[in-house]
Amino acid sequence: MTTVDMIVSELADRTTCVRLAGRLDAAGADQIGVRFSAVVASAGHPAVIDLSGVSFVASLGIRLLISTARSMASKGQPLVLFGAGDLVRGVLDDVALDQIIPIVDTEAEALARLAG
Amino acid sequence: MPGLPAETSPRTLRLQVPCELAALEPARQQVLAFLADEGLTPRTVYQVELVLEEVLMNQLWHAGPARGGRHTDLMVQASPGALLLRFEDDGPAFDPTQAAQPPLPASIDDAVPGGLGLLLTRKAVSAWSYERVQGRNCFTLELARG
Repeated sequence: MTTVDMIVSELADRTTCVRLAGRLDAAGADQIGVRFSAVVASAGHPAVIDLSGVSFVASLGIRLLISTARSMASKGQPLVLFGAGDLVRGVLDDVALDQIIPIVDTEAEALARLAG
Repeated sequence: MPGLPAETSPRTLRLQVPCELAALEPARQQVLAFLADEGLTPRTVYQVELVLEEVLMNQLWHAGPARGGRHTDLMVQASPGALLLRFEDDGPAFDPTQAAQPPLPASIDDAVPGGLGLLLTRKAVSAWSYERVQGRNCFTLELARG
């Protein structure tokens, strides 16, 4: 069974940080979907998502990111992704995800994007 | 023939993949084991995994509520120049090559969280084709080796 791990922390300025690790495929998205959405979208804070530990992402993983970002946007809260490796970033670029969710390289850039 | 290099014939893997989410991971592991000695780049392996996941998930969606007991016949063929993946099932006719692609959203307000699987599949392969043969969907995809 594939697994995706999820570590949640609160950074300064009431920003939620979620670090994902593993495979964000159909099984992985199914595994963390409810908890991820609840933690990120229900917190009422801006959020940054660390993808540096994600080795694989497919459409259902992207769907989870989009639906969560939409839910946050409806509450006026921004979401920024950072740390994706080359292969994962390539897939995100293939669907032009950065047109709808900011994607940056580092955590510092993600926090700067929220501040800006 | 003496003096000529031996032709490398394609290696072929055939699997029956049950039509259920839990079957994806065992299928992935078997395909990865089959391709382990092919010297593929991480990018090509990623593309194979992506195609495998997206096509099998697509078939799972389109198999309908009566999918119990159904399966997909998967063939993976490794040739010197390319990789071939062929998916066959007896579900309702569905031609992925003709399916409408949702436009890519320009903003989060336009974003519809779905319909990305076929887009990712198309971008991962060098060619794809669909046939309906004797009541079966036959979907063949070719990936350039890298």
